[in-house]
Amino acid sequence: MNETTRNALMAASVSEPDLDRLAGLGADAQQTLASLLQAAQAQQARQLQQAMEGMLDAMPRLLRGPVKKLFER
Amino acid sequence: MSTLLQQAERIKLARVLGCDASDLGALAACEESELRAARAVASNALFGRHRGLFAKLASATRLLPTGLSAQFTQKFIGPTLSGRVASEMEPKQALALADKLPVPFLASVCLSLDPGRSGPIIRAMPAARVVDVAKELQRNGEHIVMAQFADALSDAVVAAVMDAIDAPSDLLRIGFYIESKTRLETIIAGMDDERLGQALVAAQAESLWPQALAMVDGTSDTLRGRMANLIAAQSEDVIRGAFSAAQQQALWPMMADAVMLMSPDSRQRIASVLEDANAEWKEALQSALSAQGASDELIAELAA
Repeated sequence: MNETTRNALMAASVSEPDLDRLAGLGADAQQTLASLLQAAQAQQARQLQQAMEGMLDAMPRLLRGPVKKLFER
Repeated sequence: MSTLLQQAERIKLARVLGCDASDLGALAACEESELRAARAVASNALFGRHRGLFAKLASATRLLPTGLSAQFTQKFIGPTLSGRVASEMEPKQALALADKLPVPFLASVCLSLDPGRSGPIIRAMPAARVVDVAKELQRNGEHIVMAQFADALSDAVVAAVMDAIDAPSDLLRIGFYIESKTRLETIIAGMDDERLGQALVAAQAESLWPQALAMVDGTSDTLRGRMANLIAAQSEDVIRGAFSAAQQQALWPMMADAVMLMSPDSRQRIASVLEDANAEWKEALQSALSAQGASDELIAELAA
């Protein structure tokens, strides 16, 4: 696996042992996985952010404080 | 077969990555085992990166009354994230929440729920609820997802789901994608000959012979022998359909395996159908039997 792809996969949270599991894939396939995984991570982060903000906004006032604290922890 | 299984793995990988199977680019050409490895790695990475946030969302929903939590889950978390948040819930919390969520939403959650990570929740789900969700998945044509769950559910619940599936062709479509042959063996053992026979008729009617034959490939001699005898017990049209599919889709090795495991009566029936059939079929079957080490006596039975 070339260094650029390895770094891209690690940036997308692929662990060292999991990198070894991808050794059988061709270089193009590894690269594609890295870019699709990065896009998926970004999408998931956005969805999580929206979910937390949406929940906080719609939450009964009494619960908003404890839940906000929970999210910020 | 490998093409069908490869396509199933492409769909599963695309689901995990949140894209369409047509967006997989160079990954699309990978072998089935490579795609499976890529899926496991992608799932670990996506779950690992935000595990803390999934746990926070699970805790937040615990603070709310269950009804409100169900509303928030549908409105803000959505089915994809819910599948991942569920992995961070206690089964008791997840079951209470699932009880308040509509079946179509739960069916959508199943598309992103990892049966490996959420095993305790899946196994704790009441059979009636699982059957309702399974019917919804069946209506949506989600046979691959249904097969993924077959490994995680108890025998009793799987039996209840199989009983609820009214279309015999769907049994083939689901069975074909079940990865654990041991599990498949248990499931098929629980089905009577009439039901399996209906599935074979459906294989003929809906061009599902590759799925029907590949489904039992790798299972025990007993199960393959039972299926083989059931093929021989079908109408001439259905048997001819099986031969025709074998010819068109290179399924002769599996047909030969079936013939080798058949009872003498069943083999005689096959021989009589072959008698009036395309000579190419007889030659191809004999050649496949020979390649699999069948005795000259057995091969001669079909030549008679």
